[in-house]
Amino acid sequence: MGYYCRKIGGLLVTLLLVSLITFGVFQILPGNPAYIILGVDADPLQIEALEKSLGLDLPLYQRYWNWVVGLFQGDLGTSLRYQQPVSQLIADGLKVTGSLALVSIILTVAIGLPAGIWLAGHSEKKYAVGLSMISQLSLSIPAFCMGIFLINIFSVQLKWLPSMSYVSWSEDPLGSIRSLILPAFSMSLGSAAVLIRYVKVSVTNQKKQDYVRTAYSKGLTSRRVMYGHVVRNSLIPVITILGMTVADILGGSIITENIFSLPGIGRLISVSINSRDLPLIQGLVLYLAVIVVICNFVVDIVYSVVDPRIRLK
Amino acid sequence: MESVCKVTDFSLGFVQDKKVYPAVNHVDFEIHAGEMVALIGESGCGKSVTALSLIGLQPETAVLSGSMNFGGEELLALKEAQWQDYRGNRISMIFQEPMTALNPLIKVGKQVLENVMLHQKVTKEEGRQQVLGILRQVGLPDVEQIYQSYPHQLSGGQRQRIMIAMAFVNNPDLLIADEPTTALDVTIQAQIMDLIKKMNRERGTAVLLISHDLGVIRHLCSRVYIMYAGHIVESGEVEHVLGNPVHPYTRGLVASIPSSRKKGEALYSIPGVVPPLYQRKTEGCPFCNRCFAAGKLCERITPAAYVHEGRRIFCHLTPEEIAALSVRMKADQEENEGKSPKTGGVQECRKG
Repeated sequence: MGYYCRKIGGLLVTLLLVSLITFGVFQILPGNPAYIILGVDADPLQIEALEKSLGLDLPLYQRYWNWVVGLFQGDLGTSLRYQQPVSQLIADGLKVTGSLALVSIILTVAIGLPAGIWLAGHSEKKYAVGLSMISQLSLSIPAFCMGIFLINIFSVQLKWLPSMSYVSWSEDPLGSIRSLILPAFSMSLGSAAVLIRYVKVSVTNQKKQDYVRTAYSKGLTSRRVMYGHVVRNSLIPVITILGMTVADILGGSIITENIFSLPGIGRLISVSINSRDLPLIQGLVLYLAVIVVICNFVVDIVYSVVDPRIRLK
Repeated sequence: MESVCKVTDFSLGFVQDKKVYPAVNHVDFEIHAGEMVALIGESGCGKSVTALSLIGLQPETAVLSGSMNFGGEELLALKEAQWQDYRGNRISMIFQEPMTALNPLIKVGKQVLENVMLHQKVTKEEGRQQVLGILRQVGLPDVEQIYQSYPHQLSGGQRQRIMIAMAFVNNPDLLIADEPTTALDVTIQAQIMDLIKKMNRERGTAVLLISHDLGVIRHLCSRVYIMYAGHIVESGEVEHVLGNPVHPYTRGLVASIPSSRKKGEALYSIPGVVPPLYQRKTEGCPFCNRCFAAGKLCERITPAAYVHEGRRIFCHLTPEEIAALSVRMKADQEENEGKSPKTGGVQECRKG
């Protein structure tokens, strides 16, 4: 129990630091938001009025406090470009990126885990070299290249899947999945390739452990030794890499979302930067940091469930 | 006496770069029902791979020949699928390192239960009761709580008790114990050995004990096989072989045990080390480069074993000839006591 308390405490402290740093970074940035809104030629009186209405004349700690209170109320400010609440924009983007992330992670695990386990058991076979090469190749092909390649084959040539129309889940579940398959696939190939390597190394290491010999000496079949003993123990290092992948995918892929015209977090990031939409950028930076922190927290919890030894440390 | 396991002309070699390097050469031994037999030898002399071959878990690069007869079945002819009926059921094994021999992520009770469920047609609850029973029998306290523990929550001795429980739970005909106490505290070693002996007596399980501890072997085992560089150099009743060793290697081994009688004297150590597998000669006596009695013949021709007063001896010389030459042992040692150039490293370590 102490383990979980420590972890939750750590999570809260980290989130506090994240909010401080995010807030601090945007205070250091040169340029006055009021100038950005009104333009450089604006009347000083107008600027002063706007600063007052934005609360920019208040002392720093007060502004931080107001900002944090706003966070708790779900208020991240208003986007300059969209003239909509930032929290609303992020929530909408998250719906798309979240579904994309879900499909990509399912694909990543569905490809990476079995392939890694298989490779660990058959590394001496000739076709294992082939699979290794494919995974090496998909690791080295950039996502945009893979995206365009996939669109060309499956949308343009074969006309099996749509290339750039996002369908929301509530409108048409099947259509939604169809619209996500290609982008999810182009994202998950790279991460699956990483996963394959981690799983392969981890399983190969575990297979050399003494307890595996004990398991065989009980009379277990190699299949049961693998799935009853080796795989679970191999997952410990794999969980870390999987957690990082999840955080990465939930952070939105600027390139993939742009290629497939998906209105997700990645698109939001590129738009907000291009239009110098500071409140939106600030909201997104906070979102990305929080996603990483939470993913790490979840990884720690999952660790402790898989490996009872960790709770002791 | 009825034999549980009879090994005849067993050889094992490791294949590397299409060459076979022999690690075990034409070994014969036998384990009778309910008997405790010891296999002794230095590290790297082939005793562990021989033991692993008895349960079909030898390294993949090993090639085996000869015969291992177990209750009328030829073990060397078993297919992997057939092995599963033998392992953990009729033959089980305890390993050297209890710290790593258990799966760290599974409760120990479940690990023993896995063995029961695999070989017996019982319900889970019956299996559980059986596990609790055997945990009690191996002397563990508070078995309900131990059952729910993970390996890291137990001490080394407790883990080895779990391994023993696991090995005995299906009442095997043969138990192979590969240095079961080497990794344990001295205070625990005797307890674990006594436990193995107790299980051997109560359940009638034959035990092949691999050990360095000559004191323990003398105390617990009825017969002993001395192995050197893949050959069994001397075998027979424990009292005869260890009480009155004949073979030069056994003599060296026995002379190197500390005892109160030798207090104040420098301890004997056999000069040199076991040659690594890839440097072994295929001709001549394997021990001749370290033997006080070695002559020209020993370097060229592999000796044949002969039987002398109920024991088998693997040497060119007769017991009388060896005894006559054994004065050289002392001379060798005295030479080593000085600044022995040949084997300096090892000797220095021993003295230090």
